[in-house]
Amino acid sequence: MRFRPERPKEALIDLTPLIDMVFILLVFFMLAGTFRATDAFPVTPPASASRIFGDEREAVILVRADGLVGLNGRVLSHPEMIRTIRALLQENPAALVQVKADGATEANVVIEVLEKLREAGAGYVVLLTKGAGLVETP
Amino acid sequence: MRLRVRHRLGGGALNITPLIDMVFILLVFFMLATNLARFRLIGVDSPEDREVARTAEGAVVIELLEPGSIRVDGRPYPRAALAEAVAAITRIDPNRVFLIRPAPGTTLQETVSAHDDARAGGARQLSFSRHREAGR
Repeated sequence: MRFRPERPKEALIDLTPLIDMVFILLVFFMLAGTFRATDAFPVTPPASASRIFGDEREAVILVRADGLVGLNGRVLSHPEMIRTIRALLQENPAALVQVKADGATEANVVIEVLEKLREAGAGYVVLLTKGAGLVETP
Repeated sequence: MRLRVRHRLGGGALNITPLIDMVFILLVFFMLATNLARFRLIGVDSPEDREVARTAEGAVVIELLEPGSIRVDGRPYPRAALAEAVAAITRIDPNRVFLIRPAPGTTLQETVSAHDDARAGGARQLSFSRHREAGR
């Protein structure tokens, strides 16, 4: 008896579900994420139980544990910070200014930054803190 | 004369490989470039807070002293009793203004925790104030 060797069938993997998933992921990342300038230095915000949630916006002032101030990816002195915030407020007087300070920073240093922002005319200033997790949902 | 349609439609020969390549590239770009972190926000300088600062003379000052001890309205308390001390005041006057004043050396984390406790005690109008000795 003569058997013919079976020819391997042409492998046809259906890629449609994979492409669907990639599209869904693309749409998710496009809608859910926000773009912003890279931080000038890493900062670990303090933990709080605040019930107001939000993400980082255009004006995020960083305060490092040693008091160093950064904005838009650059390290700034206090007068430079005030000038930059004043310029931003001239463009958009209702701009929200966010302060992301390290939890280990001396509180009076951060309060001084807040006072300077008030002097610069910032109407709405918020302190960024985090809860237990890195990514949180309200 | 009989004209034949040369290219028949519906052959299913549309090559979508470049499209899928682009979608993958876009996906990788958005995954790396977007920021999904969410924060808890503490409003520290709203117009109401300016009013708080203006009326600071009538405000209850919460002084954060060395770790474990505080002073509320001039009276010493253990740190753990902050919410109760604030609640005792807000029960009488819910709209009382509170100012948190950390002593030099107090970290932001300790100050934010005190803010949370004061809120838990019912404080609606809260602001931060710099210690007099901490000025530059």
